[in-house]
Amino acid sequence: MGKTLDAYAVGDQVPPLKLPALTRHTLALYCGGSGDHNPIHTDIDYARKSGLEDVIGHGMLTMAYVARMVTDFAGPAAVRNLNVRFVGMAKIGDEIVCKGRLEERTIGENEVTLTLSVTASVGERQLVAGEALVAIGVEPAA
Amino acid sequence: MMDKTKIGFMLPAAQARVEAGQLKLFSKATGQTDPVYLNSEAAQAAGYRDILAPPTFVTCLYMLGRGDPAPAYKALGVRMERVLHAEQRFELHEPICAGDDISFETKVADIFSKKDGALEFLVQESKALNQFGRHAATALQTIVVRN
Repeated sequence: MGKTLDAYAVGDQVPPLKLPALTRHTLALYCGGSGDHNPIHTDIDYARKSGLEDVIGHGMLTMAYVARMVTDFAGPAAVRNLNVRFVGMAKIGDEIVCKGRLEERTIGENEVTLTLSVTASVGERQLVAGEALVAIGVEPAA
Repeated sequence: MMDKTKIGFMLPAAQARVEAGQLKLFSKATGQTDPVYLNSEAAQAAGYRDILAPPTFVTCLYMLGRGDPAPAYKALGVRMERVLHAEQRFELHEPICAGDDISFETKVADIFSKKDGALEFLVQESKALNQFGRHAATALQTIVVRN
């Protein structure tokens, strides 16, 4: 609350979320934190047997970063829908950047519903692309 | 090949208690620093029952609750070692908080193939109900099997 409708306009960029270089330690924490114990994310021997050069990041970790960008922008309970397609694999050392753009705005009585296009990329290489629907309480315009 | 007659089949039910320690570790791993994700008092001051689960945590609960997915995948004809996550969708209806008991009703929503069967897709739709019998969230997971 506190913001008025003027704070949200189609075409606005969501403040981007820039992550530090992805480490094995982060993947180990996410393995335990998420309950996704697939060894392809934590065990290089297993990853090599699966035909990869190294472990890969969890797609759902990248999606969690996208969700974090959205909740940082819209508030923790604002997210109604979050949909992504996984289009690339996250590698160790990747500096993931999440971005979003306000594509659509629907004005309700005490809230505004926004459709955001969202991505996570490493340079030009896209990892995920999708959209989020958020509902934000707003004060009536003066 | 996956068995398309399994579309509409229910997968084994899963249940999970939302544990504060699990949420804190998830938030540490994903860098969520908003205190509503970490601290009971902050979450309650913001109007939640207890520490709030971040948006994507509902799939973690499902994984923690269902245990080893291998038997269900095997029954559907999915080769686990060839699986990648293709798409994930969430519809969030109610906050999920530490202490909640979430039950999952999961069904095979779709099975389809592309490139003459080289890629097979399995869509699982998981409905999360909380301890009040309210529909908290739906998660739609699409995995691709590379044949």
